[in-house]
Amino acid sequence: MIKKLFLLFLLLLQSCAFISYNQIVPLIKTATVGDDDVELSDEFIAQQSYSFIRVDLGKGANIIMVLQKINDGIYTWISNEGEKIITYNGKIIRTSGLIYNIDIINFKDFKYFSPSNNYSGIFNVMLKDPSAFIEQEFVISLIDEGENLLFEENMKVDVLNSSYSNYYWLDRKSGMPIKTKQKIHPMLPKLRIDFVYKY
Amino acid sequence: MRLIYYFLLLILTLSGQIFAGINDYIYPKSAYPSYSNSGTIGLIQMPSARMMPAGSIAFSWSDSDPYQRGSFIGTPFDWFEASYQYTDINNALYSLTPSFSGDQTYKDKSFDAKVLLFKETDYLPAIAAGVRDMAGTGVFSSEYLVASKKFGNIDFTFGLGWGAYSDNGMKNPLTRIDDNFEVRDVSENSTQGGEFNLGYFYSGKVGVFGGAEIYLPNLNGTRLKIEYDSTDYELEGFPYGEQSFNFAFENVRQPSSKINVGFVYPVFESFHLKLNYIKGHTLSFGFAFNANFGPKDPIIKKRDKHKKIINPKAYKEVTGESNDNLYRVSLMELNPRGFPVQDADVDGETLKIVYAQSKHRSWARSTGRVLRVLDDIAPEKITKFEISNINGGLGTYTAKVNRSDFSNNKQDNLYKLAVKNIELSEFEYNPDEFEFSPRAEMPALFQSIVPTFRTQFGGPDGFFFGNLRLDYKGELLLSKSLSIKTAISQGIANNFGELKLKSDSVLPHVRTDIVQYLKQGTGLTVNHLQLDKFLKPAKSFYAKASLGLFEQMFGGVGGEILYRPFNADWAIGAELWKVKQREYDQLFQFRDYETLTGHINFFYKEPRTQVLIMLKGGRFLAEDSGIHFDFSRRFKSGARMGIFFAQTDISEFEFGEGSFDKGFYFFIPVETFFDKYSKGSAGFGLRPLTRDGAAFLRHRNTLYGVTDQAQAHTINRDWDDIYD
Repeated sequence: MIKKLFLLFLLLLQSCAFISYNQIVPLIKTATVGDDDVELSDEFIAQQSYSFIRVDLGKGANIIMVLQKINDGIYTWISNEGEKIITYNGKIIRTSGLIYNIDIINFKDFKYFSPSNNYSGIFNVMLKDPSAFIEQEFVISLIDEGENLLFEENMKVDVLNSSYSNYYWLDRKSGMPIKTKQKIHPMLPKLRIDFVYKY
Repeated sequence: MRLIYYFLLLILTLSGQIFAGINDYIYPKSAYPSYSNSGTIGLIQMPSARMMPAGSIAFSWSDSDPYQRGSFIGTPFDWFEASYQYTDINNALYSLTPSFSGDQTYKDKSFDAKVLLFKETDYLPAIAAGVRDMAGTGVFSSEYLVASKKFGNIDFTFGLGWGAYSDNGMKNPLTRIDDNFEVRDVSENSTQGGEFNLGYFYSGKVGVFGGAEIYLPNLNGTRLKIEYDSTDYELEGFPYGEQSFNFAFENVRQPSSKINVGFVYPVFESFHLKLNYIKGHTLSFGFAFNANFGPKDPIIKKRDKHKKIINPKAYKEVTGESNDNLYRVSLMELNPRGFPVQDADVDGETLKIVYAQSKHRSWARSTGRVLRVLDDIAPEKITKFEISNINGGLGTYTAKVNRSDFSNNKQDNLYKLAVKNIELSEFEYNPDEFEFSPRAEMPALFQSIVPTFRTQFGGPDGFFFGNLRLDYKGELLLSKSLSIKTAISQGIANNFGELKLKSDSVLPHVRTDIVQYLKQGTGLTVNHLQLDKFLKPAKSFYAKASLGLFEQMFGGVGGEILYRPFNADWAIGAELWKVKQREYDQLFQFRDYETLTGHINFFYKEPRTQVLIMLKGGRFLAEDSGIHFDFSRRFKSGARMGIFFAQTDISEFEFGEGSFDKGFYFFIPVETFFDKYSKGSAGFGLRPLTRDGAAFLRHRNTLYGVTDQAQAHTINRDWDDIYD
């Protein structure tokens, strides 16, 4: 009969699992979760006054962040609630106000996403919440030259025994990032970002 | 020796240099220790000195043949763990009478407790002492003294065990203090169960146990456990079948090894799965779910922010023109935010507002939100606010606030500066003193329909019985101080048909006819229908008169009075009820039994720890007299956990199995699971046995609850919420 209690508890856990999911997935407090997916329709894009990104957190959670400023190639995107994602050539180099944040200290040491370069290096990354310093080895390669340029960034973090790949789609003409899929923090799933420029 | 060698080799291999910070990523989901098969924090079978944070409530379940064990574990303090164990013993029957309990196996209920004696330091281990099966039948009776020390990613535990933990035991070192520790004579101290027997604690031979919980790197927080088990399996449970206990039908398989190994996999930080290999031949598994309700917003962060005033400048211009404008704008902006204005007045530079609210459990937050609105709409000539609250027509508190203190510190949430000069006092409510008193639409009806679940588990008829129901809950306010509260319930599905246990109580069956109430109340029932009139006859005195169907089993007439000085931490009250037992169908008929019951109630809340001590002394429903003790602790999240027990003038025989009334409970705020604030709580209480002794009337709207905010410490404890 204890098994019945076990089943009942499992039922309760269904809701608990949802709670934990909520804790983990919406790294952005204002994320839209579930059916209210923000669709990048022509109408929606036309309605926006400023350049923006749609950040997809997976499992239907996504958010719109607008371009706050551009400074020396560094783009600052801000949400309604003040959370920020800062990108450099499409790569997220800093975040603030999220549940988990990062800061790539030496991002300017590398010039990447040029069709001519396939190279490697080490990013010095400060993970926040909780704070820890890690070194991320990377190898960038151009893997597709179709309508857009597709770069693959193979990442390796020895101390965490983890490796993964990030992807960046760049517009062939302008060289501007139009879409990325990247993992920024060990506690977060991979983010997909769509870039829409209004200038 | 070879085994020890391999063990040490394994530990050396797995232990690594630890770097602060990065550890959180190498060993994620490792904030909490894990639970043993015994249902308390520990290794595999053995306990450790580790504790959960204060405010933790956990459920642990394990299957380790011949036992299946479900445990509720509460940690009211970071130095005290209490647990209630419910063990299904598979090698014994519930009884030898099939017509009574069918083929149901034996169920054992027991309480365990552990106290942290010494916190871990850089060089010294944490030390804890614990007692297992302290108020049950004693089949798992054991005590221990245990030390735990973490080196790198390995948490070592070493302990001494008495009773069932004393295999290969040595002489008890406590005999140096007293010879009585030499022999453990449980039978000399035994009762029919349910008593706390201290007589044989820490006596008899002593076993030695130890082991380690090894946090494995980069494996998502997985832990390896290894232990030397000092359980004497010839003492625990019913090892030799019928020879040990006449309900037992087969022997327990004795161990072929004293080394147990296992893995713990944290699915989430708070949900662990475990798989163990114990006794050299048995695979065991289980899970544990732990939630820490200690901090504010422990599970879901709130998104229920204050709704800002759109154009404060325009409002200030309008409200500056006349006091009437100020009253009306206050009403217009506060009511939709859930703070209906009851009265308002301007006295020189002070704006006085009387409000009510039923959404926020933090009175500092509700006061702060009212202040935010007033600060945005009141003209600059207003330099002070007086915010007062009423509940059930009873004046509770007044907060006098300097406007500049509140507004200047709002931006940076400097709440300590903001509240430094706030004066709190008791509110003597007199509507005639206010220039503006908007007419409330009376009667006002508040209603909801919610699913509910009636349960009964652990009885001889079967382990679990349930009734899924739909409840209509309504509150009709006839005036500010006169209300009718009701819950009408309709059963949807149940398995109560198999319930058959009848009361064997020699006392009036004030509670033990529960099976009749459950079985005959599966359809439409009136759970309660209570008319309340609240009064405040003098300063700090509160009174309530009530009439109706108070609870599932009793209805009648009565009332209570409470003296609760505003700046005190205590309150004292009295209640008297003339009640009659309700019919089992829980509609409007009564049975023959009627009685006069009443108590003197004393409350003391220790403000720092938020521990509430409640004593209820008087005549109980079965006409026994005595005292009910209740100790509970409230946490910042609003969760509360407590224990209770009672002693009355009836004998152990008259009380029946269990010897005296006792149990535990916890309340979890519903808002914990949502991103919006609300005042409701989900409660769970458990007493090992339902008996008639020490039973008291359960009525709605107790004065101590209704006047919670009529004491300064209730508001002071939450000032950090003022800008929420």
